[in-house]
Amino acid sequence: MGQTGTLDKAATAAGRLILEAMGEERPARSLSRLSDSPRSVRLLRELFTVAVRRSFVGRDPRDITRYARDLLEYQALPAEGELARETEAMIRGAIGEPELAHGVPELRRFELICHVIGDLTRPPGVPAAELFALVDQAEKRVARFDRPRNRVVGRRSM
Amino acid sequence: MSKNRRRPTRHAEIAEQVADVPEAQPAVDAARSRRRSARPDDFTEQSAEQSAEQLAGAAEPQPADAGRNRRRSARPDPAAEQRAATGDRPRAEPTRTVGALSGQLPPGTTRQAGEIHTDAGRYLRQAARDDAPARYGTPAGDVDESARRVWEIAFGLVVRRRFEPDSPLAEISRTVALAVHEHASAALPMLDAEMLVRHALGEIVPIGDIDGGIRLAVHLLLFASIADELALGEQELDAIIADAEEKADALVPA
Repeated sequence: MGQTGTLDKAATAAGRLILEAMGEERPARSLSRLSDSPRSVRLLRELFTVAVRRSFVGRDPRDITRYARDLLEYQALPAEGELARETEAMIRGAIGEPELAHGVPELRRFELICHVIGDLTRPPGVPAAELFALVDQAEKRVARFDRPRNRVVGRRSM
Repeated sequence: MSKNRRRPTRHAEIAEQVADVPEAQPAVDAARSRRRSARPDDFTEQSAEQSAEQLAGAAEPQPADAGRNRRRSARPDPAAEQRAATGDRPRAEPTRTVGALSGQLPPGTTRQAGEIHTDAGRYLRQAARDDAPARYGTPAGDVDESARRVWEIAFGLVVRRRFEPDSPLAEISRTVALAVHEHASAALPMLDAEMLVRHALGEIVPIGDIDGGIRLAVHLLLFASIADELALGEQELDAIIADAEEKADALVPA
């Protein structure tokens, strides 16, 4: 619960849930427990896009291959096969090659999103202020891309 | 992200240190990654035990094998003596599947430089010239292991002619995307195809569990696309395939 006292930095309930999960011992596992909350899942997708773009845009794409292997090895998952290719496909899909990730099953997408977000945005590797900024940007993307009645912009100003 | 940006750089630095100071390798390995150290201890212990068992198994031959070896050594093998005299390594007799498309040199044929001699080589040339009987990557009939080997080697040769090992990934992706769209009916998985190209260039990539059928289709169809991209003439194409046949023949397991 490293984020206690700072949860009000997120505008939405989904954002607060994600920040809370990020403060747990195993963020990827905690994030995966949010799978029954559609708004959290939606926000996680945008958070994944934001986090991946901030980390990998402008870098050698081969860094993504190395990163995927490193991440899966750390999670004690197979790093030499399909899972590694799917991880790379998801990341490269978020930074401009969306066709690569078309074949990844939905459940696998969510698992990988949780692993990558848990790794890329976890404090203390990422300063808390940066994490709040990421969640805020993800919330704005959700507001921008979703239907008007679901926007959170009006409530944010209250 | 600053944490993770540092990760590959740190890895490269460590690799340099390891290369510079070989005697310091165990210490560097121990300190290399917080991630590895985070693994449970029983995992490493189990791996160590397995490695020790494997090493012990390799060092001590099985009794049955030993018995067989003794029987063999008791009876002199004229062919082995001849091989020992000429310095040749023993080669396993290649198996030929009846009716399958093969990459083996037909019996009684003498190899000539720049000429295609095998069914697999001829099929690959047909694929490159868009005359192959099947347009989905895989031939209609059976394909034996030697044919797969010829195609894989030919694929590697043409990939290395098209790209340098440090070619930009965008350039590789563009060629792969072009090939995948060109052979859309084969529905090649784009990332798998790209990984096989990068593997042929010597990169360490996750290709461990790519299906054999996909490998075969990628080898054939990307060979065709890259040959077209390079605008290879008949003689150049034949030379590459003949070279692949020769290399595959030399690779017959001993």
